[in-house]
Amino acid sequence: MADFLIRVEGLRYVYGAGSEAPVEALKGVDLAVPRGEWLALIGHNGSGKSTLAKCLNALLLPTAGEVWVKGLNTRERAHWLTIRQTVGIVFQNPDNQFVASTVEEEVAFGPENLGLPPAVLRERVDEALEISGLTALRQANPHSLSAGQKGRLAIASILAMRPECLILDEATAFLDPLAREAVLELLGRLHQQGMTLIMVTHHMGEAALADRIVALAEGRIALEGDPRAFFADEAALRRLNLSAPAAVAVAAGLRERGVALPPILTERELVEALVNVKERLWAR
Amino acid sequence: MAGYEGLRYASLGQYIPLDSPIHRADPRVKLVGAALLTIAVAIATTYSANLLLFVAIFALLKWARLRARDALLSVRPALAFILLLAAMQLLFYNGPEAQTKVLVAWGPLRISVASLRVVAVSLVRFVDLVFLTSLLLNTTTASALTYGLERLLAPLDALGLPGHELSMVGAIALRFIPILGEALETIVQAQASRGASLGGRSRWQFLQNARRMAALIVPLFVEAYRRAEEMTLAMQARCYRGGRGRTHLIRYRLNRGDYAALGASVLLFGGILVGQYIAHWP
Amino acid sequence: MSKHRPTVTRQEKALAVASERAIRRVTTAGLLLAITLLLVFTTIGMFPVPTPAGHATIAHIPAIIGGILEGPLVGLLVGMGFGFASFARATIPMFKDPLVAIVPRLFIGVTASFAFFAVRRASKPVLAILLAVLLGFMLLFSWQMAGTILWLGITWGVLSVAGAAFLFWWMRREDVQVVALGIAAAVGSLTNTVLVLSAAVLRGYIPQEAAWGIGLTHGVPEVIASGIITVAVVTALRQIGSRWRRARL
Repeated sequence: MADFLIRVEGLRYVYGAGSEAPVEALKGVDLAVPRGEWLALIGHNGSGKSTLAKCLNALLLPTAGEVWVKGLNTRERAHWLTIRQTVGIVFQNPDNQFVASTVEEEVAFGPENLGLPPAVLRERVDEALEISGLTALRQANPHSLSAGQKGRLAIASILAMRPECLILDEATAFLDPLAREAVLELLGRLHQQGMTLIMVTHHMGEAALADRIVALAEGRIALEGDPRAFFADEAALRRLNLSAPAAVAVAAGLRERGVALPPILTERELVEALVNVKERLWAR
Repeated sequence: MAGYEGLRYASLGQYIPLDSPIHRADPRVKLVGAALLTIAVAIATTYSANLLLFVAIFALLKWARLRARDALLSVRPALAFILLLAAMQLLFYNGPEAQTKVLVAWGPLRISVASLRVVAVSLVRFVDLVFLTSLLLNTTTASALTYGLERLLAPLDALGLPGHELSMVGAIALRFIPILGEALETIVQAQASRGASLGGRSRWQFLQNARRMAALIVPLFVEAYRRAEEMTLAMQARCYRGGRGRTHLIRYRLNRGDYAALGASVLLFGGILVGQYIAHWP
Repeated sequence: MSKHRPTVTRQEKALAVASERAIRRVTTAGLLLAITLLLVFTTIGMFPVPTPAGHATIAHIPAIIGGILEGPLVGLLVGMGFGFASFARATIPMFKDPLVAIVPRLFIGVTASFAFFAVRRASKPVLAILLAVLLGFMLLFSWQMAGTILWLGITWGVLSVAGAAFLFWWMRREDVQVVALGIAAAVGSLTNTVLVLSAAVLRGYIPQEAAWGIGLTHGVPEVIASGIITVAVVTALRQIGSRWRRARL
């Protein structure tokens, strides 16, 4: 068996089980995430993607089915600390995640909960601040940071627990393009260093950066594949009411009008391909 | 409405970043000292004890490089009311020893030795406590306060009481005041844009006022509960499990000066007790 | 790999829920305390009433709501925060005394909580009898007061009768849950008024007669406002709570 960091088998999750109006959010999901993968989880509101993310680090326990992290079952209470330390999760609104009144103490909160000795805490905090580029702001009040800095701080405070996998639950949803760029740049660096990333997102351009995309619809996996294959399946995308990233859509439109283009995924690829086309036209 | 202006800056810890021995002191010592002095002020009923306390507190204020005028600025709007209350107390006081020695009598009004003392003491006490509040809050950051509180409450944890949780509640509250302040501003603006008038509330239309108030307060509570829910998840995700097994990045160590300060406040407290109840100071 | 088990055992589930609930209690208390401080340190917590002081407070409402929704411990905590804040904020000598500003406030959320859990499941006839007993006490008290200050006694008496009549009409109309909320809010608010004024009288800040007057002019509007706002807030939170469960997918 390959080295899977997270394995999900037949996962079902019901909100308000036993109440008058139970809502089934996940209806049987199977998923395996290999170490070092960058996975994008997409789907519409209510598709169950956030629920799935919360099941991956024991914030929610399966109603049925199993979730294993590093071979540890999330049902075992004794493993929660290890599981939550291994799989860190960053939520949408940083303001609702910050506990402390300085950046440095905010980053220290997770490791402090793990009960690490002060010297190790200091080392972890310095390291996480360094990676996220917040060292100069260590004494600042988290509330006074810019949106992009808040986003990076939220990630840094998870990094300080030295996780093996980072889940971003729509953590870039409210960021302006510049701040989003800064956060994505940080994620790219982490991925290169071998961090497993799971990104829950609405943004197709972001999803295109991943190694693999999984689309959820009505609590089931509806479509999955690497970005090129994923966005090439236009019929399936239309059925799921998902749109391809702008670059992919533009390329498809051009092909329809008879422009010969190689497979396109990102804006940069599109620009390069168009420059090529232009040069070919000039040469002719 | 003046009250909505600058809401986002409303905060309890009006920390004034200066450098003084009081600023540098250990937050635990400051909390214990402030508590002891507050109790001392509250129980001091004699002239001598109050004079001693006032001198001590004023000296501390100077030592912290704070200005008495700034500290008293916050009570200026209420000055007329305070004086009115003092005058009423002076004239109508009828406590247990009110009949002692009447200095001035005019119809039903009388000023006695006892009423004079009660008024003088309560005014001095008030000023003392205003100074003490500034002394603590202007020289201590919010996180230092939380830390001090948590350390001081640690013995409660051993007894199974939620000492750590208590300080955590305080920390979360301090963090969310500006955020909820902003949320409230948004709510006020949203309602104003829908044509709800907030200004010019007549005090006689008090049922309407209560209802209008509810229209502001209900969304505020909803917002707070939504944030509490997210905060709960985020704390769980960061392995929070209460105070047990938690360590701290920043540690304070008590130095000789801290012990001296602690000793001095205990001494002062004890002195007031002995002086007032055993030596019967005037 | 662990062995396959289809469902969580009940014991495990209880453990998981308990710890989450403990954290939630901390965060909720923190947010309620933040609202309290916001109300105390700005003028939003004041609302205009036709009395000499010109305003009554609603800053004790988070303590009441904490007591009702999260239990007496959270109510106590938020009330304590209210006390410390009003002590730190005080602009008149009376509230610069911890015995007046802090100690009475500890009980606001606690009594509200106990009142809520006591009457939550009561039937309407029981509530009506309780109301009648309360009215009896109020009239007795008015009679006694009329002996010393005639007009104040008469005012109290008239107000008690009017209040009881209104409550009776309201109870017939509303759901028991709503009535329970209203009663809990009133109890919490009265706890604040009565204990603060008693402490102020005992410590010699105000004469007893003045306390009765203040109780009338501040206590009554505060009880009514607390009732309206508490019912509105708790009902809204309950509705939204069930909607969130659906939206959180």
